[in-house]
Amino acid sequence: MSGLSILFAQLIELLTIQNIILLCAGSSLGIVFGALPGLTAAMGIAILTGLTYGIEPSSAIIVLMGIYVGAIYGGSISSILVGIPGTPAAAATVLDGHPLALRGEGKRALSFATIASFLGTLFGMICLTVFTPLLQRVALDFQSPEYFLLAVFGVLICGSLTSPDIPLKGWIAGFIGLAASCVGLEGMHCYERYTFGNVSLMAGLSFIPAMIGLFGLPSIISILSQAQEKKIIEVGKGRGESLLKMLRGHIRHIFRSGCIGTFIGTVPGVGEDIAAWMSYDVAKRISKHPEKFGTGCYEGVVAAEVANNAAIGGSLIPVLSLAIPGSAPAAVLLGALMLHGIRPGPMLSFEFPHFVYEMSAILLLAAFTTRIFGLLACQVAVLVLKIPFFIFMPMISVICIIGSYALEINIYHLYVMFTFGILGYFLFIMKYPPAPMVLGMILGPLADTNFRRTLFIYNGSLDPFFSRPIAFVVDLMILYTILSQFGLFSKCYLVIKSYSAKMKSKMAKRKKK
Amino acid sequence: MYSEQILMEEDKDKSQLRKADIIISFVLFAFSVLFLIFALKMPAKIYIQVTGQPSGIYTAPGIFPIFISIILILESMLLFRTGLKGAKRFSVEDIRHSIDYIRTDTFKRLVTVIGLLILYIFILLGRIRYDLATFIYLFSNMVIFRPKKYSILKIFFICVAFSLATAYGFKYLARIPLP
Repeated sequence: MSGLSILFAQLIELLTIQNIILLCAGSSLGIVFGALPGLTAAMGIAILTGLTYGIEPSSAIIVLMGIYVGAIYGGSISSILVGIPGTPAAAATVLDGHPLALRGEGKRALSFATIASFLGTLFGMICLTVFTPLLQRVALDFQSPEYFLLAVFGVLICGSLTSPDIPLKGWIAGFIGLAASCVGLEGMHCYERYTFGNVSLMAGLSFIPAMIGLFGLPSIISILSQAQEKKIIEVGKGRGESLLKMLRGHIRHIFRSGCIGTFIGTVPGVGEDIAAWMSYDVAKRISKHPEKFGTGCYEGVVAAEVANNAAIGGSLIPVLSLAIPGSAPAAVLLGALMLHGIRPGPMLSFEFPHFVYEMSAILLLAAFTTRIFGLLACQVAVLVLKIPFFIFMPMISVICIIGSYALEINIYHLYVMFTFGILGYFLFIMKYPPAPMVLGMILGPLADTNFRRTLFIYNGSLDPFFSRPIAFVVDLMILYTILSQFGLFSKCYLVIKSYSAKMKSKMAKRKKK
Repeated sequence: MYSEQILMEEDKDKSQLRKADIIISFVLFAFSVLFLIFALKMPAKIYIQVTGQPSGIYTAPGIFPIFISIILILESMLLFRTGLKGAKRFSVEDIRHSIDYIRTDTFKRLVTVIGLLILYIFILLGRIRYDLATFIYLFSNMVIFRPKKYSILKIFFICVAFSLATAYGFKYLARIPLP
């Protein structure tokens, strides 16, 4: 059966009343969650992973995907109406979305964001359906050295691209995550590492509570301690935008932003926010009127929103083919899949042959529900946004706590969540990104097992890490990631440039003579 | 003039951040060395229970932690170097600055938020009923952080409603046991 027919079959199978209700509930919850500044898509998925642990895996995945798509779109609501991004992914939308709302074009800006998000998700979904099976086939050639190097590369590139200060801080966060993954029984001999005789630590540091702590508590603590005030602009009664009209006017922007978003989404750990910024930047550079960007320009809203939603599909490609998450929410989703007994990676195509298409179908349906309920949920989100932070944030902290506890009905998870929450808050102040740490915790066991397996198979030789073709390519990527941060390439370029200038002047002198 | 002032502020903030980086680099170095010491204490060979044969040295459980701790030590050194490059000299002003921060409202609020979380997670939950624990946590949080115009009675009803709704919703509807 061809991919398209499997996708169609999965779509038909998913179209039950129960699934549609779950998807609508998930998307609406995601939109409200994403609209609230400080609450991210990763946090929403992490909390709901704990809360949906008891229900059927397919239903849980539908809810989580709905939240993912809804939250990434929902971030644009507060970006446009409040001027504060609901999620980091919607930060680029503020630049043009909020000036539009201030001009009284809030409703039109929101409808632009809704359609752009829908088209972006659709673009990402198509790429997910086409490229994941291809990458899975390539990934079958990956062996232990490649997996180890890929995990290290993932942590490094994520650290480089998500660090708000110097890339070194991202790398430190990533390696602390790898160190945290060493706690508990190791995967080869079941030897206890760093447990100090504590039975609770033997199972390791569960990363869902750790994630809820890292993504949730820092926002709650910082919002409550800084007593932020927010001013909401009403949606207004202006006219919306039709899908066809927008497609006609912005088809080039949509395609370009979709490509950028999907590509950035596939880079391990980088995610939707970088995709949106990069797409916005490219749109501004290419535009005939770059001076209009930042003053309330619809192209800016479209570029950012298409890219951050296209990154959803992009970030799922490495999750499903290599078990390496493309973004922080995708990392939580990977954990959720593992909790429900689905092991993503190259073997997924043998264990669950149609799972990629099932995910694509869910993504497609989530795109439609967000499109249909988007503007409706906007009104609910605006009402929730009006709740003062001193009432809302303590409630969210209670939900975080229930989410962490419900995972294994174990109070120890609350301690893990709290510890990582406090650590996350201090990392946030010191400008360390949380995403590489989470990625490190997820990829740690993969890196550890494959590192030792390689050494065991090749009798302690480090050759396979450099001599195998795919490993060599990953080595080059790691080298480039590290060296480019120290400016060595630009220095080399300057040396070569000055040398060639000298040579040219010498040649010119010789010709004159 | 205004932009110059902003640039000077940013420069000052960056210098403060770099000073903090120096302190963090020491903490990270100490953590990495401890991590390395514990990794070195792990056995080089483990006897496999089924066969009774020792496993090869290359699958020793300490190998990966050793690799990570070495990288973390290198990173802490790099962070120290970056901090030294970007930070201005430590002065009495820094200590005064830290003391001033402790006196700010933001710091007091921060300590209160963390304190209430500790109270809720470590003391109340698991010891008293979930709904009562949640009510105490929410009520104290909202009363402390409320603007003066907000009535306590309104907060009381909000907290009672939320505590009971989550208790009932999660326990009976979603069938999720609560702490």
